[in-house]
Amino acid sequence: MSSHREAPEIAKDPVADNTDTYAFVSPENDGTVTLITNYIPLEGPAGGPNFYEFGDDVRYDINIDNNGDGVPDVTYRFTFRTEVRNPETFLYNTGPITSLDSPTWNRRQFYGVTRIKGDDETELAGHLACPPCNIGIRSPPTYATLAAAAVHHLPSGETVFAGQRREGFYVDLGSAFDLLDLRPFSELHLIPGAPNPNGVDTTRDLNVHTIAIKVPISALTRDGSRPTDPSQSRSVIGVWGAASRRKVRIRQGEENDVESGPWTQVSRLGNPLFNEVIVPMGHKDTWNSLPPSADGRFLKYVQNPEVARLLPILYPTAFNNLRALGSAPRADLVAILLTGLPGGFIPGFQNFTGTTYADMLRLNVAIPQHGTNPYGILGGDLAGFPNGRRVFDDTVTIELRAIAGATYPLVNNSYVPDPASGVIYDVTPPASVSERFMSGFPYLGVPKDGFSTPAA
Amino acid sequence: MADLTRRRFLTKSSLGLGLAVTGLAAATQLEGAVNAVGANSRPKLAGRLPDNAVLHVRDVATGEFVLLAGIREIAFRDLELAHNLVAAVTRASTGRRV
Repeated sequence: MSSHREAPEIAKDPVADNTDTYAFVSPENDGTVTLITNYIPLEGPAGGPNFYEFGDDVRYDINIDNNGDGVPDVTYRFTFRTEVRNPETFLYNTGPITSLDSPTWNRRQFYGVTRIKGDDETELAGHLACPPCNIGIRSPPTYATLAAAAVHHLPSGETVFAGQRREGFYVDLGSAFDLLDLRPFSELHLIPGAPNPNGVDTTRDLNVHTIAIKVPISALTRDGSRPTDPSQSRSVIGVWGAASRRKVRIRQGEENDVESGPWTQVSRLGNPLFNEVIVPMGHKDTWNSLPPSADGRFLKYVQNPEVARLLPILYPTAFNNLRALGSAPRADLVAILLTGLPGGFIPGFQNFTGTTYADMLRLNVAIPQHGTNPYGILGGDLAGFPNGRRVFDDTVTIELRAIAGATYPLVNNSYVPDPASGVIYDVTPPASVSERFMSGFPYLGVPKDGFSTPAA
Repeated sequence: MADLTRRRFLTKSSLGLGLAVTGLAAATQLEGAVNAVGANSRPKLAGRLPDNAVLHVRDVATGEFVLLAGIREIAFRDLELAHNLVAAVTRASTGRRV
């Protein structure tokens, strides 16, 4: 998964598990950027009676680095509070929820938003309503309308949403984790199986909890400008999500639990799949606790990723050129994931942030958002991953192709990628997943409802 | 603390000497023992701790403590306090289990 249950410890703490992070120039307004972080992996829509919600004891941050040091220069912080109307019922709602203040909605959640720039902390909002979970047509009968009312426009210029959405990350988990059984050439796998070329969209009927914010670009850049020249370094921002908990929690039975100590980061996510498949298991929990500025220690895993070593072994006839690369450091992957691509490699594009190795989504905000190619830059669409990340980008396919050698010619033009690296796909065709998304904020679609999921 | 994961920290605290300064029955028992060792002879304290301060004994042999107070984390060494806590735990282990 992008970062769903990707590390041993955070897999046990779903409400703090940052599953996906997105950053893109808003398609309907090139003067703004939309930043999204998702939490709570693999939500089954019928998962009541205690339906999913953010953690009141978790601090959710969306971080922006605008000078390339892997340290946040701007942070949008979201904190939540749950309010229960009637603790003497087990029900989430005692009748249809027809509005965000519907008296029959028993367990509601509210949140505050704070912007942090250096030592300056500004509360942008203090008590914004989340929508309910999409239980079924008797509970929120007009869910799309109800959720739309939970899109809040702040006086400071931001637009925010926090609540349940349909999972936007599509992936064929069954193939990925079954010893990397790539369906397009499954019959070439070292271990005989039962080839099935039809990809499985594992997350099709699942939901997630989304924090989304649309921000004027000028609020994020280092000089407060709205850049229009993609070649300038000030046009690039780094983005990552992070969740933190207090260092200590003491459980006291009938008395309220108490918490103490500084906030400690327990989850982080910039590029999809970084901690998932690049960082080895024994280091994943540590990685989640660190800032991007510390990612230099993981450089060797990017230079020689385990998946790139496995592919020629698992597919003895399909990746001969990749095998021949041996242990040559993968400078292409280092650029894509840790520094950004300098100018001169791809005409009209750069998202280079300097020599600090840091896993961040790097978004060139001067490139307008008009493309729709799910393969992003690999598909010739400069507004897509790894230039930031849009909700519909097929990041699994893009990263698998890159690791398989498709992007190595960027740094060595004598290298000829294996043909297989160009035909790897995950869930296919990507167009089949378009129903998951919305054309406008918050872009991730209406969550699947518990009553009618899974579909017959 | 930087090299400890959250889980390892909690495990270490629960298996080793972790002491919540306020609100815990066990702490009250230990406080009494510590006071008996000599805290009563000290001058009255002018300041106060934030609610829910927690003292973590990182290394009893060197007297290395970490005090979690509010959102602050303060490291200090106090070998005498470490010895007193060990003595208190030893005495408490022969009494009522909490």
